[in-house]
Amino acid sequence: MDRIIPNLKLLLILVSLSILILVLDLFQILRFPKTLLSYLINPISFGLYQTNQKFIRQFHFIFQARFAAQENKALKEQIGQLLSENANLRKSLTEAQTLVSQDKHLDPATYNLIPARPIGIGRYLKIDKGLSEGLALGQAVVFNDNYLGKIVQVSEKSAHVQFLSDPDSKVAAFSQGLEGKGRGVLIGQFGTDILMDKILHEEKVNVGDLVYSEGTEGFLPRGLILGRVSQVLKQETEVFKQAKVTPNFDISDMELVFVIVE
Amino acid sequence: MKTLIIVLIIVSFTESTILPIDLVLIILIARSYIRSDKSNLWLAFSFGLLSSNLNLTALGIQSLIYLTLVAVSEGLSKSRLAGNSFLIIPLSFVLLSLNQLIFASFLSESFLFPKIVLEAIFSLPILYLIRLWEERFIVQKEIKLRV
Repeated sequence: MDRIIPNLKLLLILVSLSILILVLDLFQILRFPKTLLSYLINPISFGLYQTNQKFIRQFHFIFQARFAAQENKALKEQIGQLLSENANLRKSLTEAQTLVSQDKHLDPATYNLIPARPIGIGRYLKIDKGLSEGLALGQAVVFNDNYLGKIVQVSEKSAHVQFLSDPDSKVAAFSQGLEGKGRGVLIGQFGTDILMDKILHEEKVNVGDLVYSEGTEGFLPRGLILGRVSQVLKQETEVFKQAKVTPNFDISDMELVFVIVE
Repeated sequence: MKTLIIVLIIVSFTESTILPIDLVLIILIARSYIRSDKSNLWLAFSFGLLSSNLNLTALGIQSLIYLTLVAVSEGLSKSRLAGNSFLIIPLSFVLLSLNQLIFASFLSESFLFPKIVLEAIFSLPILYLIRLWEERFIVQKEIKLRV
């Protein structure tokens, strides 16, 4: 037996001793020595625990720093997404406001308007609507009740709008001020200015007068605002007097323009 | 022996305060697996008492378990398979499971299987460390040759 379980005698003694201690402890007889021992053990355990906590705190900083870097990166990405979302929302809001504003100026019951986004600007303004949306050559492009230009080139999904300032643009117009009316023709000047020509000398044209469309072209309704007189060019030797006209809107500020389809 | 006792004291406090792994039992099993000695039983008895006191269980219960497991480990260390160090892993697994099972039934604690697996895996490096210590740093008695 001693070969199978070495030190059997000692084992039995220690097992017996353990059982005795267990019984004594179960009957609470060893309470006093245990209490005494706890005075020794508890401070050691506390010290060990505190040391461990301090150690963990030191290392926690390193883990925290790594985690903070990851969190920072994630937050930056989130901010980027939010900014992008915000920009889209602002754009949508501006478009919605523009649509509402347009409805106030040109009655949708009278005019069939198609909203279009400017997608490029050169000599002409490029918009994102074309033949597939019902656009055609010669249609007027407006913003609120201001005339911007007419469609001169159109493809399936885009179109080019000729401004009033384009040298090829000619529109019959009249100015309306407190002193009276003045009739003439708006002619584009080098793509930068608009000149109102063919104004009779006796007609009253003053700086600040609004210039409206006559509507004789067919594609253009009468009464759309074309601009404001910024300078009157009067020469007695000439048959007609002229006036420089400035558009009321800067096209680069517009999010949305409208094409009058019908 | 003094070093081992100091290590066991530190480990006892560690397992009751910081690291809830039965390192004392693993060390005792590993040592009894390497070396069959009376001191194993004394260590099992005394550190069973200390662990009981530190873990706030009834004094003597852990001594009983440790003594039994150490005796089983010593008995198995004499088998032919004991030459393979890797046997310590299944052996520890079984013995630690028994220990956990007794505690689970005695103290109505839940049986933590992942803890047992982790402890069983730990037993192999501990065995190697103890073997290294025992073979390289413990002075053995002089071998008297019979002439």
